[in-house]
Amino acid sequence: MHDHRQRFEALALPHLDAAYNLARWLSRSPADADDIVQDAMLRAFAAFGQFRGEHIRPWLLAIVRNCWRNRVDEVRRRGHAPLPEEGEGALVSDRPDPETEAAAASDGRRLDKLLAALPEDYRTVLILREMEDLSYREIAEVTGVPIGTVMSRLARARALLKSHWMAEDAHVVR
Amino acid sequence: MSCAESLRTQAFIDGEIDGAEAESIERHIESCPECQAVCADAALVSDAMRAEASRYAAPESLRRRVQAALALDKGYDPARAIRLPRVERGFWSGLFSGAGVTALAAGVAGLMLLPPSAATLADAVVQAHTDALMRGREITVVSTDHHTVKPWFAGRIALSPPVVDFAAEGFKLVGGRLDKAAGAPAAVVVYRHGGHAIDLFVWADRGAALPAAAVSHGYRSIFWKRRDLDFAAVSDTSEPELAKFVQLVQAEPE
Repeated sequence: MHDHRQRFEALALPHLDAAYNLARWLSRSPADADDIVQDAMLRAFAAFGQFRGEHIRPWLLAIVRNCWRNRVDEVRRRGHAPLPEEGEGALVSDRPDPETEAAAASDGRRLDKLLAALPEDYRTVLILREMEDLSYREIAEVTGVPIGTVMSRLARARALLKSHWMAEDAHVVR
Repeated sequence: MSCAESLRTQAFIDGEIDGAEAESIERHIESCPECQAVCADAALVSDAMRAEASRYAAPESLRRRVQAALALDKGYDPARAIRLPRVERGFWSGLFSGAGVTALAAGVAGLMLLPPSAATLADAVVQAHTDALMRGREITVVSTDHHTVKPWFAGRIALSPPVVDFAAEGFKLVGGRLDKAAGAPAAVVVYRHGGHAIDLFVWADRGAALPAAAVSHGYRSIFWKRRDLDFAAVSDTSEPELAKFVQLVQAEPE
């Protein structure tokens, strides 16, 4: 049993940053990302006996995404107010508050803000492709959709992010 | 986008296509303005995200928490408290400016400047080579795989440089970058030969005269043309070695 855990830790822990980054971008909250990743690692360990794939990273990230999904569903079932996810663009209103506007002076924050405001499907595919360098097949595994859907989502996500970026460029005074 | 090949073009950019299919899609991109725009947009978004978006690292406290939880291994408890995510503001860390990205887009659109004379051209490519080396910027896309390096250029410059690894002959492909040569945007394919860096500059021919070979500040450069492209190989390696490299590049079929 001890060996089993060591083997899991040796394979899975190197991907903790990738797991956390995805959880953070899905939940857009550091505290929730912590909880999601811990849940996901325990679930992954419990399921490790059935892990047959050769690439552990997409397998782990799929579990992270499921854990996030479960939390969203749980919150909804309990009748809480909808997550920011539900009102797409909850983070970015038509009229940004002064703090956000000030933050927009920095391009890093500006891009982060635009990314965070993308619908989840598009945000996830960009995070997995551009930050985690996953292949189309691996992204399909994490998100549970066919490769063709990954391709069209990626195209749409890039077009959306670019047009939002350009639209902001036209307004932000540097 | 309405071109039926746009998703295949995107797949090429993302390194998902190789071999004969990659060659056929590359030929298509050359003749399709829409797919050229797909390449440019994908490159813009990719560069912006890699340079400016936050990739969050797991906090050390989380790493310890996970390890402690695994060691206890009490199994998964679904009855964990669910908290509402808070909308976070002000924790994002910006790093770079978007100016580079905009400049890239301008580069793709094509800069038309007057070509310099042959003599100043030799100095200019050596200058570009040493500048890049000194600033540690000689490689933007780090890869020994031409399936990664070649598509990287596709969205960033309106020409398709030959990208071949000659590791077996002692000239190892290590990556690529964008630079300038003869006042025009140039693709630079970077090689390693022993302790020496070799830059292969490739830019669109505009009828300018090229020097055959030159030595400038201890760096050698060899120039040649092939169809509508101009080439320069630049390095501080020995003359016979650089000539051997040039022969390898020239012997590659188009």
